[in-house]
Amino acid sequence: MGWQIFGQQLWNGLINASIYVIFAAGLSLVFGVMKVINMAHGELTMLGAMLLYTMTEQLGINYYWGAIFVVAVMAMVGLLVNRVAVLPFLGRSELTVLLSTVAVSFVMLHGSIAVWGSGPKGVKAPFNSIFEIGGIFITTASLLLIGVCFIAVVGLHLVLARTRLGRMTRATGQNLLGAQLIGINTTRIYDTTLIIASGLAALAGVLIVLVSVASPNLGQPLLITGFAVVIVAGMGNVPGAIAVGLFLGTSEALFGQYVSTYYRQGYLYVVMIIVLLLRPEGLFGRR
Amino acid sequence: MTVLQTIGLTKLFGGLSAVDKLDLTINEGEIFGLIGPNGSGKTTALNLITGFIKPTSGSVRYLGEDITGLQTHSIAGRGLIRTFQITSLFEDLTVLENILHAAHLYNSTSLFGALVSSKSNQRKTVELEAKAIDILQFVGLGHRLESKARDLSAGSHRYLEIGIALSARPKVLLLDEPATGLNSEEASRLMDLIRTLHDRGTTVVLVEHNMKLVMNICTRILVLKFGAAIAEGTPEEIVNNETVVSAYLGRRRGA
Amino acid sequence: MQIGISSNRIFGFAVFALALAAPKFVFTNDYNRGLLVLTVIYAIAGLSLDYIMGQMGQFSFGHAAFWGFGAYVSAILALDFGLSPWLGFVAASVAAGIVGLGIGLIALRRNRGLELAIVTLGFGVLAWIVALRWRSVTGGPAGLRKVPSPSIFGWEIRSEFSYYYLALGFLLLIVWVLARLEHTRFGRAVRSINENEALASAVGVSARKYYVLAFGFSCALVGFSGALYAHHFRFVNPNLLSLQPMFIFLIIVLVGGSGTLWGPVLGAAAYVWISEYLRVIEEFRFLIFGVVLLLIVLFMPRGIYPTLREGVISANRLLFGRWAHTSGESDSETVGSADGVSAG
Repeated sequence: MGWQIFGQQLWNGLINASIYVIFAAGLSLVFGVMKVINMAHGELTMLGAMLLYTMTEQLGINYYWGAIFVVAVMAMVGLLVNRVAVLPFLGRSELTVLLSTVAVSFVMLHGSIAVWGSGPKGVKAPFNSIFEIGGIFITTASLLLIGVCFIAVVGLHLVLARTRLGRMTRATGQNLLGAQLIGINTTRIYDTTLIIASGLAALAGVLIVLVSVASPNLGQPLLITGFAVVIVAGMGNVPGAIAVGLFLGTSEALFGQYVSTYYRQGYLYVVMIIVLLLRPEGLFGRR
Repeated sequence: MTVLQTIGLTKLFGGLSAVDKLDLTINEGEIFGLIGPNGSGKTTALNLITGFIKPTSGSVRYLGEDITGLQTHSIAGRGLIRTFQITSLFEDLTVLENILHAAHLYNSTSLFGALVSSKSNQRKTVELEAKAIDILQFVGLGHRLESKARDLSAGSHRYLEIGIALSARPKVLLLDEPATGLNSEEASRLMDLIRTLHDRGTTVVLVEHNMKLVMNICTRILVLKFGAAIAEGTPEEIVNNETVVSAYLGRRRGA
Repeated sequence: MQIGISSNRIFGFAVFALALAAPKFVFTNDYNRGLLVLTVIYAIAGLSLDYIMGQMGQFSFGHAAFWGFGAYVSAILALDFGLSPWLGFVAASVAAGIVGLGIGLIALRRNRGLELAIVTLGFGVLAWIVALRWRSVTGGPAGLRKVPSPSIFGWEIRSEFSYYYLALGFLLLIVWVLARLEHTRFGRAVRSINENEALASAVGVSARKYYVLAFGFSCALVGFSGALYAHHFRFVNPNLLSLQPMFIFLIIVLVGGSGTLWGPVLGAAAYVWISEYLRVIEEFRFLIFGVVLLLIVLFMPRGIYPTLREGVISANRLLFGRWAHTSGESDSETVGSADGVSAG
């Protein structure tokens, strides 16, 4: 009996972890390359979920097509955000960019509330079967979620590590001036970075609805979770964010089960603060 | 007496030694020149001495105390004051305010006294301002008190920089290429400034490219190449030193 | 970046006179007077946030959490321990200040703005969770009610009218302290770090020490504002610690003008009163705020007050020539200004 509970929580944790991972990866990517904290990242996920809701529940479009469309659209929204709210301020202080993205997130949040109301919206998953392995209940929807996240992560890693775009991106992140000097169009790199990150965020959004509800308020808590992951891993370290996201997501579920459900929400932030105290650059950070 | 000393000071960046087992001894009252071709590690040495970079190995001793690894503000608090290669000022403040802000270490006003404007605070404030104006007159900016720092000419920038350093009452003053961007008239004024400081008892360490300046006022010179010392001596000795000449490869000797 | 004495003083007097007269002559109904009280409380909070943003060039997402924290501390001490609200004000400030010092020590190690922003965000969330869950102390989601009002010699300062003057008195005191602070050793040290950290440390200013102290001070101030809120509106709940007040404070600072003394005060007034008018379109209220915020960040990044002030200076100059000279303006007649080698 005890093992079943453990296994169930482990699986639940893995589901959460998968979402954390792709969300935090995008957040870390933007910071690593552009030294920008995108405060609107959570809202991008939220919009992904809400738009999908509209497509599937209100327009009757098939989940898969809807999801692909939404991710593509949100990636473009990310580009727009970059052009309007980020790029113009990169020269000035970090504070201005931060405030700019805060303003964007604010507009997105309240715009969504105005459009959809602040209540939760359910989205029917494309399939609904549950099966059981050794007393642990696994929904096919959650399998889909984890599978897609896994593919996304692998894809991201391949792009960053093996492609020319990836190399240029990493170069830009390490040394902007140097990258420019060898002819990299850093503005376009910034664009693609934000496109990829927003796509990942939106992907998290369309996947969340498989296991939870869509609501305009889901962006904020997720953003804070994302920060916790990114800080613990070390800002700008994408593989680190992936590893930490996995670990924290699963351990959070176990914490909630075995230590305290009451304070479960606080687990991540306490970890974050402890890590900051002991190793401020993050577990995998440099310097 | 020795005021500043480095022993085996080394800094490695990756595999490159920016500063290589540097042994440096500076005595009280000298005007000590640190020269060398570009990339020879002069500024890095200065950064190491003043705590802006941590050395890979070796130590720095100031007035007999080991100051290796101390924080920059602590080192400054002991009277070891530096200027920066790229002009460093409080751009948005006025010239006078720059000095007032830089006088932190010797500003003895108390917070409460300042808030309620007590008699002693008023007196100290008057003294502070008077000293600030003195310094500014010394560096030749007495007529520009209310100008914003960013509006000054290049030469005035440098003088203000020195004024800022002086507000911190240096026992040893480290100047990082102060003559950069100065025309010959300004450079010669700088020379007079440094000489006067020397006469008043401040030990000066000068990192410089401008040979005329260095040869004219330094009492002793150390030449660096690739982070290591290659020659040391008086200006005459250095000028006639073969190693030094070939290190500079084609530079005119002396002035 | 305060302009010289003249324009500030004039503005100050105008605002002061208006502020004194307002509840008696302008806003005679209690509801509006309540809004005035809120304006003052928000102004104090805005000023404290601007100390972090304008003077230190940093950002704290947890500022609302400290506000709510102050409110809770004072409320709990009054309700559970019978502590006088006056002492509650002090306790809230001190408690918030100490926690702020702690957080500053953790987060301001390399003085990078982003670290502080994130740690304070985490703290804010934690504080909110604790307020929500620790029912026995904080009253859980419903919070605490019937928080007592302060009283002098048995007379309760409960009405909107009287509390307004109380809060206003504190606001003026705080504005005065902040104005004086700029000319103190402490204030200059903080300013110098923001202007040029390397240079500041080269003249002996310990960046970490002063930033931690400044942050603690700012947290104490906003904790005080929270306590003021608690003892007037007489309830506290977890909402006070959420991101909602955070955005309000942010709007106040940005709209009013960062880096000035009157900016946040203006911003508070603007927020409260425009909010009122927009109440008609309740649904879109926050959306409009978001858009306004975005527009201001994009086009008037220094806020309304500095932009207004610049307009006043140009008008002054046009009309009166150099007679209206105020310190801090650049002289256009500098000889050979910044040619060739530009600054840094």
